[in-house]
This record gives sequence, structure tokens and C-alpha cells, in this order.
Amino acid sequence: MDKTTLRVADLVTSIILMVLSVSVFFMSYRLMFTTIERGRDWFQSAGLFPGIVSLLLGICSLSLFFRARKDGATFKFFTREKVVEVIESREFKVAVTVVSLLAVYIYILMRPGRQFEVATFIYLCIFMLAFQQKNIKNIIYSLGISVLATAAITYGFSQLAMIPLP
Amino acid sequence: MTNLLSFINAFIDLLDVTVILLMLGSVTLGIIIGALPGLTATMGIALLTGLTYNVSLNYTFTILMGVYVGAIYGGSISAILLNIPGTASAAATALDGHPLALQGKAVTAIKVTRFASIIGTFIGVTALALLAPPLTKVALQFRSTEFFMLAFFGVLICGSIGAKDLTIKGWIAGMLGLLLAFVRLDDIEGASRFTFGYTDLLSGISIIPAMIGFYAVPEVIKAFARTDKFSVAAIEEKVKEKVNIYKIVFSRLRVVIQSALVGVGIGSLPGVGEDVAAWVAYDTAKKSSKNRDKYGTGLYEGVIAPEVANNAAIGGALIPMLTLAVPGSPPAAVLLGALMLHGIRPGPMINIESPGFIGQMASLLLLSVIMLWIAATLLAKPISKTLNVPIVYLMPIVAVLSVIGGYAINLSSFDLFTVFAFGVIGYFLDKMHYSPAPIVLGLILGNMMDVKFRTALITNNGSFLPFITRPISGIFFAIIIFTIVKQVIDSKKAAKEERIENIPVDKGE
Repeated sequence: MDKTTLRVADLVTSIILMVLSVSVFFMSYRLMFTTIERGRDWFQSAGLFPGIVSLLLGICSLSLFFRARKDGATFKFFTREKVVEVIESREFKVAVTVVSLLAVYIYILMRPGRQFEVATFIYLCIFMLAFQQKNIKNIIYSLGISVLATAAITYGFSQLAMIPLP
Repeated sequence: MTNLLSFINAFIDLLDVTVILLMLGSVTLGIIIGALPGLTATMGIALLTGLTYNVSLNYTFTILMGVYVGAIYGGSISAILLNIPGTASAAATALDGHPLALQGKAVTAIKVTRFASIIGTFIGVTALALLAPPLTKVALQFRSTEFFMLAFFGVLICGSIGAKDLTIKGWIAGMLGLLLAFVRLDDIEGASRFTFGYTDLLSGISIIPAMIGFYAVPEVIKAFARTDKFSVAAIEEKVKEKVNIYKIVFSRLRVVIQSALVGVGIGSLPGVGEDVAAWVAYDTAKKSSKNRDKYGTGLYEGVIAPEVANNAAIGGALIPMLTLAVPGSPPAAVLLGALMLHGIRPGPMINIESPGFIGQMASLLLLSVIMLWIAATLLAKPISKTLNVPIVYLMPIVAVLSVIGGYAINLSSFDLFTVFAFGVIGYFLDKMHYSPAPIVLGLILGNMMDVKFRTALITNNGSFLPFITRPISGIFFAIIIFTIVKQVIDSKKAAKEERIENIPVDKGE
């Protein structure tokens, strides 16, 4: 990420962080209010330290906002062309693929009642094939490595370490 | 002198074939655990604590200490080879270790970190055996105010050092980590805090799954996103230099001694541990070096400093654990649980209730140094071959190990979601040049800081003054203020210089 884009990202992040710090501050304030309502001292409250940290976060976010503005970051950066450029970049596609595969593995393949070995084999095989040319050699290699890796992981964790697998 | 003699006696008593073989096997296992991304020293010790429940006390701690030392060293291997620190304490090693690997010096870097780790552990042993009593006296002065200030300083310094772009982003990362640590059932009031009704969050966000997500998932994405077909192993074939690792390490003796002192000192302070020790040692080495601008590009000092410090911190971390029952690091926290499981009650009474136990632990640590030398020498080449495995086959396996590693510590399906969620967040934060180290440290220390902060206020009837007026706490307060002011001034100077450089030059046309 080049510096101009980084500062624009900082500008957006600083606003998100300011919203977060304000939200946490109000939630902490409510916790403090509950403590005082119960007749306890304010310094016993579970909201005290989070409130202080949220204030510090707000100050830091504000500082980041001004730093990004000083470095020339503006919201005009978000043009249609820029968004298309990001979506069509190789890294964005890779990130979406890896995250999607991981989501499928965790949220679908490893649901209760599904076999861990089968889920891991399918995940590994698809993952390996997703990032290489689909020719016979690569398919055989991917299948073989997926089987071996699944067997080794399953044996290592369930038999040697005696960890019940998900 | 008495300490030294009892330590030597304990070491001689220990020399039994079974103990030696067990230690060799445990150190080897520890190196493998540390090197595999997603498997940490804490997790390895936790797993083996359960498995060794029926084993005798002597053998149990041989295994646990071996895994501890091996894993802290092993973390540097994946940090160097894959830029994924196997353990959080190896995160600083990755800064210069991975660039060294990219220059074709992977094997040399691994050998240097091995020797640095051995020196570090040895100095940690010496500290544990000889310096424990005076350091314990200092540690005994610690109250809630000092614990809080120390942890706050740890998060702050980690934010300053770990910042990849602006210092303020390092601090923001630390604060985000602290906020994440507050998501749990509060320890003092028993109030549910920021859990939004999710019962899985009542015990807090699990540190290890979060850490795995932060460190492993972004690396898997980045590995596939690389457009250049750069292969570390391929370059390694071209660089066939004869290097003397002893010369490399001993020619940087100042860095070694300085880092060992930082490691033992920070390790012996309760609640901080190897991670902060490694970062502080890296920062100290960088600031005191003539080549400070070259740090992060592949300097041997950059791998020696954190490795000496994180291994020296092991001995240091055992000091408060054994004498105060306050662990100096997350692995030491698990060891504390193991001690209690085996009927040893750590604390100021340990020398009366279990005489010679501190000497026994120090002897085990010394034996682990010798075994680390042997095991690491045998494993250096085979583990460095990891890079010969094409990324397209290696990284999916790393992803699976990370998911299972995240699940294994608590056997909770919720932790699988933690790995995923923190992986995605970690990737975006990495893209925006936020370091995961301060977030993880904030997450580890956050709850302890909150409890100590309020305990100090409750003890002092709501007065903030003891945070400044108590001597040790006051020193930490002064250091914190100095660090903040210095960083703000430095950042302003740097920003001003940058803007001057960017002003277009008028060529008088």
C-alpha cells in the first residue's frame, strides 16, 4: 500500500476508532452508573478502566485523524475507478479466496456431525488446487499431499497428543 | 556461594539417563511445537501438563521445562523461514530474521539464534540460581500500583517498538488489545462486560486462538498474494559462504550482555515475560547501535538481541513464579498450574515447604541448555528444508494447523471462530501497517491491568496518588511520561522533515 492510500486508510480508520471509543466510553459510563446505583464506590466499577482506555483511544484516533489530514488524505480518494482498481487487484482476489475457503472450512465443513478427516482433506485439496494450474500432475500431487497431511494431522493430534478433534 | 553449591548439588543429583533422554526428547518436541505456526510454548506446556498428570514430579518438570525452552527457541525458526513467529516472543526476531532468510542466510540465521538462545537460557539459569534472592526482595516490594504501571509500560513500549508506520498506530493497537481483554465477566464486580449476551465471551477472548489468527492468517494470504516468485530456498543455493556463528555472536558481545540483562530483568518482573523482553532488547539494541537505520533489513544483531533476551527471560520468569506465585509469562502461568497440580505450593514459603526445589528447577533449566544445543543442531537443517515445500502445499497445511491449534487449548468451537475473526481483522490491520504484537500484549495483560488498577484504588480509597508517590511505581510513571513525550517530539520532528522533503523545489523557471 503506497503512502497516499495508507493515509486515506488511516483517515477512515481514525473515524471508525473514534466511533468505537465513544461507544465503549458510553457503555463504560453505564457500567459505572450501575455500580454507583448499587451503592458501591465509583472506583470499584467494571467500567472505570475501559472508560479511561476508550478516552485514550479517542485521543490517539483524533491525533491519527489530524496526522492523516496534514499528510494530505481526503475523502475524494474514494472514486469509482479506485474501488474497481482495488477489487480487480490480485491481492484482493487472493484475500477473498483464502478467507472464503477458511470460512467454508470452519463454518460449513467442520459443523457438528461432520467428519474432521473428510473436512480437512476437502479443504486442503481445494485450497491447494485453487492457487495452481489444474493439470493432471498438480491434481495428483494435491490429492496425495492432502491425504498424507490429513492423516498426519489426525494421527498427531488425536493419537499422540490425545486431543479430541473438532 | 550457598546458592551456587546447592545448585551444583541439585544438578549432579539430576544426572540420570532417564532424565537426560526425557529432556532431549522434550526439547526436540518443544522446538517442533515452537516452530509450527499455531502451536505455542504455552499450548505445548498446557497439553503436556494434562498428559503428565500421572508421571512423577521430577520427570514431569523435566518434560515441561524441556518443552518450554525448546518452544521459545523454536518460535524463531518459523519467524526466520516463514515470517510467522511460532511464538509471540519470536515476533521481534522476524523483523531481521526473515530479511536474512530472504538474503539466502536462513541456515546461518537459525544457527545464530540457536547459539543466542543457548547463551540466553544459560544466563537465565545463572540468574535464577544466584540472583533470585536479591531480585525477589525487589519483587516483594511490588503492589498493585507497580504491577499496573509495569504492565502499562509493557503495552506502551511494545506499541512504540512494534509500530510499522506511525508510533501512534502502535499505541492504538495496544489500546485495542486492552479493550479486547475487557470483553469478559469482570473479576471484581462480577459484571458481564461488553459480552452482548454471548455466554462464550464470559470467560474472555482466548489469547492463543486470537494470537494464531493475528499472526497466521495474514501470512497465509500474503504468501499467496506475492506476485514475484521469490523463493528463499532458491536463493540459499546461491549463497554458499563459510560462516563462523561463534564469531558472529561473540563479535556482538555488547548486544548479548545487554539483551541478557534486559531478558533476566524483564522476565523477573511479574506479568510481563518473554514477549516484552524480546521487544525491549531489540529496541535497546537498535537505539544503541551505529547501524540503527539498517535494523529490519537483516542484521544479525536484530536476531541475537531478542533471542538472547527471550530465552534469558525464562529463568527470570521462574523467579516470581516460584517465590511469589506470580507468573512472569504465559508459559510460566501454565507451569504454576502444573506445580499446584503436583502438590508444590509456590510462594515465599517454597524453600521451607519444598527445600531445594528452586535449585532443582534451575538444574533442569541448565540441562535443557545442553539438550537444546544437541537437539537444535540436529534439527537445524531438516527444519530449514520447510522452505523447499512449495507455498501452495505448505500454506494450506499451516492454515489447518492454525485452526486446530486454536481449537486444541480449550476444545471450544467458539475458538475456531476466534481464529477466523481475528485472522480477518489481523489481515486488515496488517495492510494498514498496524503491528499485531501490541494488540496481543494488550489482550494478555489487559485483565490483569484492570484488576490491579482497581485494587490499587480500592486499597487507597480512590486516590491516584500512590501510582506516583510509591517509589517503584513512581519510577515507572516517570519512564512512561518520558517515553510518551519523547515519541511525540520524535514523531513531530519526523513529520516536519518529511514535509520539507516533499516541498517541490522551485527551479526558477
